[in-house]
Amino acid sequence: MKLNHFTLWVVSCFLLFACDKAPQVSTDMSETFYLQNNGADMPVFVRGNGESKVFVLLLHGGPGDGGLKYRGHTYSDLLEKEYAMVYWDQRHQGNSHGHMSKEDITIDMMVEDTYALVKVLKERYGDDISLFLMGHSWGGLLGTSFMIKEDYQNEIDGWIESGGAHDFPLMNQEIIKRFKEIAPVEIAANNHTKQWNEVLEFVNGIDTSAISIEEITLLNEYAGKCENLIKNLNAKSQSELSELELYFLGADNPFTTTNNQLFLPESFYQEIVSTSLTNDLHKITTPTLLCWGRYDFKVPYQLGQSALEKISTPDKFLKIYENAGHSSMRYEPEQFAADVIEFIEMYKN
Amino acid sequence: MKKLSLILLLVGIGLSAKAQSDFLENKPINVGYFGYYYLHPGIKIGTQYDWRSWEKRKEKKKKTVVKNKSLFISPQVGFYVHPKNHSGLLFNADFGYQRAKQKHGFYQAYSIGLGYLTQFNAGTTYVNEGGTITAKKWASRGYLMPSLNMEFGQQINDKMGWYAKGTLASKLFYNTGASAETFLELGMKFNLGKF
Repeated sequence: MKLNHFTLWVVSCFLLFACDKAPQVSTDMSETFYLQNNGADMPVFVRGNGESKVFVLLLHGGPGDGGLKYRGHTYSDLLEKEYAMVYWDQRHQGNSHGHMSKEDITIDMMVEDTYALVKVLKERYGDDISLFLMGHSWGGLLGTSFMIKEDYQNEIDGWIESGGAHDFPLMNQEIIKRFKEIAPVEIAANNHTKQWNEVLEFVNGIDTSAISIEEITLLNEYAGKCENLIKNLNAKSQSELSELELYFLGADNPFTTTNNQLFLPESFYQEIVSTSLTNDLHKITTPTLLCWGRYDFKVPYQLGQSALEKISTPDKFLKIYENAGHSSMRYEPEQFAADVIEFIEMYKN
Repeated sequence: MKKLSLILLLVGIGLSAKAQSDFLENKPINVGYFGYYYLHPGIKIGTQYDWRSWEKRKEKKKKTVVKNKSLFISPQVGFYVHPKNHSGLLFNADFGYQRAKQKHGFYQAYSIGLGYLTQFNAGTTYVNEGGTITAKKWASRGYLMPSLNMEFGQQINDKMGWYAKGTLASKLFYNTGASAETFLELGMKFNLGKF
């Protein structure tokens, strides 16, 4: 009898906490569901104004970040007021789980995941929704790969790329050029002279015809550090309380995210650093908004300029944020959100 | 994996059924808070069987200190919820060493565990198979979960005691590797036969 009571109790708890619901679309929706594709179970967190019938699918950066890392900021709060933001954890990243081999971690597999999620969003919320894709950093590479594959871009109404690393070899060349351009200016102005000299010495020693993986890693590290050396560049973040709330009491688990990042296979990074999509950008015929920070040393704004030239659609825009680094949405959140909203309003159904 | 899950389930049920008769012989039942990453709430129920137990006496300043030591096995069932993320159902057995001071009833235990965790996705899971999307409820995946545990507590009287237990665990064959997990348990032990 005791066992029967216990079993009933466990089943009741399970039903209480894990019970499934039909989509709850509202102006302040908060839903979690999963996409299962080729060995991966990937959580999808939909937050914001679903009644707008506009969904913005965010492709997070990293690789190794999670979708919810992009939530709880000023720009995301502003966007959630207008639209439903879809924070998705890509395979082997964020809180995704499953059983897979290293061969299943490729850019193309993630493009297929993205395509499957687009289909799921339309199945769940209706074919009449407007769907925009927004990729940041690594998410820019993933989004661009999606946009140029077959006719996948026909499924979405607009592409927003923010500091997107859609061409790693070009990006590395531009990082070196950018350092060589900015470092002397900063040294002359007596700003962090020691650090800038160190950067300059490093980039001057690189053979740009054969940049090694170690040099790429160091370039990325310096790019992150140098953003903090530029005066008047202060990324706006959420309060500590909401960060605690977001990470420890919310739907996210940052420890799982870190764990997943640590186990990302080396072969995947190798594929990323050799990927160059500039010559395929002409295939993009969907309205596109390109957002870049002037002081983005990780993915210099020259990649945005190059994309603007190559993309075929006449409905393309480049916004350069003068007081921003790699995550322009966090440096100039109000302007970033205003630009995204203006773009979406132009091209939504 | 499904077979393993079934075996562990049967073992768990078997041990629980055995526990019913053992309660009459004063074997404890543990009931406690089972926190995934400490804060995501759950509950765990288990029992404990001593494989071997012995007593050690030491003379200290004209006093005799008596310590009870044992090697034990502890089958458990746990369930937790990380809201809007996932839920977990764990069948687990710990194998460990316990030492208790007879005077105040305080004890420490160190154990290793082996379990099987079924991770249920929150909400609907949309499964893509060859371009066809199907909605699935209660979608789950199973992981083997070895663990390291440290516990301390106190037997308050012959009817009950309290315990606190920390666990470091790993989900195996998780994505392309393994995961690191941690749990906190706070609970009570009851000797039902004494009530």
